[in-house]
Amino acid sequence: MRSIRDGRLRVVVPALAWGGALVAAYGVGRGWGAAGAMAVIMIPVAVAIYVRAGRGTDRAAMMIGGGADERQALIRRRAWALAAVVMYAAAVIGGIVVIALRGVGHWSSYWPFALVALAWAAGYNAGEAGYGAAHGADYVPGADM
Amino acid sequence: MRNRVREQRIQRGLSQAELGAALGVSRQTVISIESGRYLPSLPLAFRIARFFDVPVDKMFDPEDEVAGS
Repeated sequence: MRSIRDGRLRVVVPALAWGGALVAAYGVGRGWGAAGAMAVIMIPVAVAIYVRAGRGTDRAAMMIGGGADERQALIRRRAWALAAVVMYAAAVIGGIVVIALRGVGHWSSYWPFALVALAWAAGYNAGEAGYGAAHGADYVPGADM
Repeated sequence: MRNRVREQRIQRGLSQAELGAALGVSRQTVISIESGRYLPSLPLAFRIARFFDVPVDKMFDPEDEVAGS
């Protein structure tokens, strides 16, 4: 039980940290009144994540990550891969639409799309290199040590 | 690929949750393996075979594979 509670915190704490960063960004840009309202909305979201992560389901184990077995970890990896492909496609399509509407001269309009696409490409290349594709089929991790 | 996990588990009077706990996997994963929806990794397949003291090729039978699956 203890590990489940710890696992829940491993999910909730980063969610709160990201939410806090978002609230701070909103507060700096738009004022702290609206940011306060945003922070209040985050509380039930954090509670919902905490409750959901504590259930004995596949989804809870995948949310916690470290508590997942090999099948759950595989599902999680596939879901991440699908999410990355969808995100990449959305960035490319979004960039194309913006360029079609405003022309290539408006870099300020489409740089977020380009940033996401570049981040995806960098992540993909790092993954290929890190997981052994750059070494060819004969590569055995650890054999060259 | 068919397997005899369910048959062996029932023979030993174990629940899916108990087998999952013994193997270090979730009950849902035991259900998925038994139903053939999930093929376990080699290490897990060997763990299952050793747990039931059955050769791995008797526990997981590729000859039983349904054509096209």
